[in-house]
Amino acid sequence: MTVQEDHRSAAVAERIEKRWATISVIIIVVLALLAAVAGIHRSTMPQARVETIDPSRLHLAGEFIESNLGSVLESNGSVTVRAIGQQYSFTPACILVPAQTPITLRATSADVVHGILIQGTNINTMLVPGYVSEQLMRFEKTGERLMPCQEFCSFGHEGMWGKVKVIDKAEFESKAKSGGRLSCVGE
Amino acid sequence: MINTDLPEQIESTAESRVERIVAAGPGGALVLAGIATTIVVALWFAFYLLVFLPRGSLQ
Repeated sequence: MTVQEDHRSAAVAERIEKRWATISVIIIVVLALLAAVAGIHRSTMPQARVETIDPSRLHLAGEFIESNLGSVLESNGSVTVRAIGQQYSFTPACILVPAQTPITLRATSADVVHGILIQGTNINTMLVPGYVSEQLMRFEKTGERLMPCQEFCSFGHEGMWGKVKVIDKAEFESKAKSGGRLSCVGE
Repeated sequence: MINTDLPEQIESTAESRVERIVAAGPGGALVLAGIATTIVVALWFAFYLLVFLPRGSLQ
């Protein structure tokens, strides 16, 4: 083996490694740009601010007491849905929302980490005890959609399913007239 | 004494074989890594373009 040969093989290995590193960097940059496109397209956006809450006092006072859970029509025409995830159900287990209306889902967990995702949409967020998850959403068509827990939360996880019922906007408004918090539990 | 240099000679031959192979470039490794990377990136794009974006915006 000569010194020249040694240099040649080292140079080849270095050149190939540099080219492969360049390809890797290009792939990473493209994926980062596509993540930016997803943000601009509004298919997904990180939550704007972190909100904390005491999970041991959810049921006693504050935003997530039982009587405040469900859907409420706000004065600006939008709808706010408040929900809790706990082992092994969502409260309310059936969420009632109007079609073609901006909706804000506010949810948290009373025990361990859970997740909410709504079938056939990009609505997908984790529910972490101690934090309020806020997710914007909008449904164009009426109908029912499944809402499973998407984060393994122990042995009953596979039975933790909720439902979202999207109804006509006018029908929702007439139901909301009587006040209170709306849900479709028991319907 | 006639055989004392033999092991070194064999090693030297093996090393020069390795050198010759490396100097020719890792073509097989590049093909394998290229195919694997292409499959992963193509699947990622398929889900992004055919599932994620068609599901539409959140608001």
